[in-house]
Amino acid sequence: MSRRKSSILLPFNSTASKADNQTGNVSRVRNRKTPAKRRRTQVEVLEPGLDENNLEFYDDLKQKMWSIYRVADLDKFNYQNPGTFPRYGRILSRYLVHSFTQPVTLQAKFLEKPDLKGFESENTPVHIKVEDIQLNNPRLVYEGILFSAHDSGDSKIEGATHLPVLLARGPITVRNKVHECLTAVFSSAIHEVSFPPEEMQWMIAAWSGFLNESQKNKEVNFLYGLPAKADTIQCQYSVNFIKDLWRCIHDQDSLIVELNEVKKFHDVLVRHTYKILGLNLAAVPLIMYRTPDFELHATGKVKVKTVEFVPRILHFIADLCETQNRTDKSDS
Amino acid sequence: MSDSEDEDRRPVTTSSIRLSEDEIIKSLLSTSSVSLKTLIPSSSIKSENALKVAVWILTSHAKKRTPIHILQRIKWLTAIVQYGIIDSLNGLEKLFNPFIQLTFITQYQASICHLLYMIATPSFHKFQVERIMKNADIIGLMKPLVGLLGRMKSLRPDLVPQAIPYQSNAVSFPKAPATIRNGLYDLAEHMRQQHESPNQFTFTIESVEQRRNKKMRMDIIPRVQHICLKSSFEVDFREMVIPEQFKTFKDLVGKMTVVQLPNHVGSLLSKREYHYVLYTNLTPRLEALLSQWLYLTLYHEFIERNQIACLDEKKLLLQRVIEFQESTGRKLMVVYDFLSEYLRVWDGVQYRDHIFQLVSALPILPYSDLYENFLRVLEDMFRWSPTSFKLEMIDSCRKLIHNLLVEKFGPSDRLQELFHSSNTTSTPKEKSELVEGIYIISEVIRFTVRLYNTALTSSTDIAVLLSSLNFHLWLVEVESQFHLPFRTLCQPITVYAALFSQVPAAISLLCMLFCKFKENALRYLMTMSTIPELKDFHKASLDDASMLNRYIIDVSNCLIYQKAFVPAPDSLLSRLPRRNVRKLLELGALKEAFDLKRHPAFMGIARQWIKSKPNYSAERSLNVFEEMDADPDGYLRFLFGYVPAIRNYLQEFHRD
Repeated sequence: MSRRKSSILLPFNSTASKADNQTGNVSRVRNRKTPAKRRRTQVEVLEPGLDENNLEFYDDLKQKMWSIYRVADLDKFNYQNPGTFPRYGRILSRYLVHSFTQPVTLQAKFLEKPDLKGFESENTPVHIKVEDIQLNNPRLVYEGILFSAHDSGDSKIEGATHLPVLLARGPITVRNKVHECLTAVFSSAIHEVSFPPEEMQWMIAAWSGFLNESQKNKEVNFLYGLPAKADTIQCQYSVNFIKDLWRCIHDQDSLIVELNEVKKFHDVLVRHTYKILGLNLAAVPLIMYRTPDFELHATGKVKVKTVEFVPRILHFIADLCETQNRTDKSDS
Repeated sequence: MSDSEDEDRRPVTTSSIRLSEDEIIKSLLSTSSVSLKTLIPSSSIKSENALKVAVWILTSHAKKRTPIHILQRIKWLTAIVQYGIIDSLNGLEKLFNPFIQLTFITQYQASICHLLYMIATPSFHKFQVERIMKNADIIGLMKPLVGLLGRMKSLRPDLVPQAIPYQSNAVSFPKAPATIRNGLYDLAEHMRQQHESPNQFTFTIESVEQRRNKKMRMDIIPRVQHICLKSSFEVDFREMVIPEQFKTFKDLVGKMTVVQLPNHVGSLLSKREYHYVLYTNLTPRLEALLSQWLYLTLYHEFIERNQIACLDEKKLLLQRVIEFQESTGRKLMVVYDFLSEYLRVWDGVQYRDHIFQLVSALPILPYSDLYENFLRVLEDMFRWSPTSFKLEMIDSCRKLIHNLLVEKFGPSDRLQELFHSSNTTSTPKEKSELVEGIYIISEVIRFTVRLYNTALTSSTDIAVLLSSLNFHLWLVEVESQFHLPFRTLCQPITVYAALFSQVPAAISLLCMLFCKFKENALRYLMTMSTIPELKDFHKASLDDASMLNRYIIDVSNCLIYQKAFVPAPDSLLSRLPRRNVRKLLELGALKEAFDLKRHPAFMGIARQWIKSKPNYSAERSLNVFEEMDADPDGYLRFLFGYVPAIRNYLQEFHRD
């Protein structure tokens, strides 16, 4: 029995049109082909323009281990009136006090930070601090920074603030409770972000040209995990070695880093260790990468030691969060 | 409301005779001591009676009667209100002010605070708050007072001082007296079950709040909370209507358009009643917020996170989303975005029921999208899955066909005219939409038939065969109900698998199918005249219908004319695939053509016929074929009585 083929010449392009909506259903019926996995083929490496205004902000970020979170748009979060931030601080303080079973005296503060140059965002960053004020010296128990790198553009939700990246640090219980409060109050979703292996490779390769040696530390460390074992493998190279390798692969004058350059860089390192030690490091997951300038953890933690790396890293993280924050509001 | 009594509950087995409501009230209004365990009512107390008791308490206190007696009444009243054994709180709410004075008495304080906690409404005044605060200054901020003030602050944050915390779930009041606790609990449960009977459309909105400890992870669906972001002075809390204040759905319905939505838009997915609230208030802005939260949460929980963690909460989230779509008829496209991504990493086992429910509720999309994003993945999984999975998947496709039909055409009277050739009222755009809709539905039907073919060729399970026959029976009916311009007939594999199965039901269903097809489909197809745009569907369907003749010839050759396996160029044998021929070998010698009387499926019926004959004796050996040959008409009559579908088939196709 041959398969019956529909021989109708459809008066429309059935693979590309958007079917108009059924009555009563406001949401659009979108045409979605099987989506391709997000793959970068090129990245433009930014030269950090260190503005004086931003220096203080970047200094604040230095030398601290930040966990990265992705934040959905915050509904009714506005900082137009002067009274809103103190009120949000009070709401957060109260929420925290109630959610802990043991008595705590925590005070929360929301602070507006100056606009970051080089980040085209309509919303300025927001700094959240939670302190334990029981003792004479207030002790910082949570610090968080909400910011965004791009305008939300067409996909802006009316009345909602677009600050998709949150860098947070503090004990995990406090972090969870603060995020719980923010999601509950502002109708949002906050989820931890981890670095996929491809993104780690991009970051390692693309910034190799900018590494600096410090007085104490002249090495670069790769930490690999062994599956199903608690052990790790640590590989150290000198900073100059990495820089030279990258220079051989990538043209220093070009600001665009290509995917094949990144792949080549990592292939060379893998082959190098394979030839010398007989270890195939491409088969094990990379857990951590440390240089004198910054430290990256695959679980989504980052620590920056030099100010000039701060905007680079912030841009990359913001890009990552924005594309992972796949909302369906844009026309496809 | 504290749930601290929960631990102690056990079903009461008392056989004590309950006093009537009037007797209970009479004994409470007397001045003597009462025994609380005799005062359990048998049904809801009227509010005026409760009011009488409350007034008695106040007047007795004024007259300085024995405190113990007053305390008994207070405890009874508090317990009644706590367990909801009262039909309305309206009267008691008005006594909020007079009861405040009783909070100053240490003996009564805990119970009175509990009672006030339960009857507090947003319409109280600053001076009342100050009086209670004075109490706190004198005696100290005891737990019951904190609970009461916290509740009052939640209702009117503008009146209660900043220092008092908001009502939290950690508030607890003393338990109800042990003697009446179990009795009242059982009565409350009984009343609740009665209200849940399907005859009544009101149902209580349960608030199941669990105390959270470190080990319990937060529910994925957020709690319904109202945290005011504006200054307390900008909001009139008396006017605020919040969903949680309604105890029955009937009350909520009237206020659905003015209800204050909680902070988190996703929290309205937590209960079925709130789905309607969400639906009536779903502006584009809210929908965008909901979509964003839902997509990120689904993606994070099902794709990013550890798959073993929080299985129940994830199932609950999917369940609520499905319920929302079912009860409101509103499809959330973002769920299908997520589904298309999840299916690519799905293992075919986890959340199977929910995934299939979502698949059966797919919205109308161009078929290429439906196939590429959803159906293809399921088809790939289909081949290696066990039979139960196959049947479930096919069932969800069947529901999908039905849902698409209803979504596209709905229960409409003008369907017939819509497809009719004399239809001149539709615009070209409408016609093209019509064609697209028919195309999508016919493709999904073909997809389902393809799945059946795959299942039948790879499995000998009789359930698949019966499911296929039932599906085609259903399909003919549905296609005629919706006046579609095509009719679908089953594929050869179904026909021949049924013909040679050992199950009488399969042959019976096959005969029914042919009769139904001739009656509902063939006549209609012959006389139908559709609009030109649908001609191709009609033509393809006519080609299919011509297969019916071929089937009838083969079936009749097999069952009646004993010619099924006679070697001939176009006999059944030559048309069967080799695999099926091999299967036939299991039935017996191939060279023998069998007829209806000899069909293996009916041997059981034949033995029954022999045993039912008057001259049957158990000692005689049973030679079925001999008996049949001796009385063929008798046997056939018995067989047709047993399987009337075959008789109908013969009448329909073999009138001679």
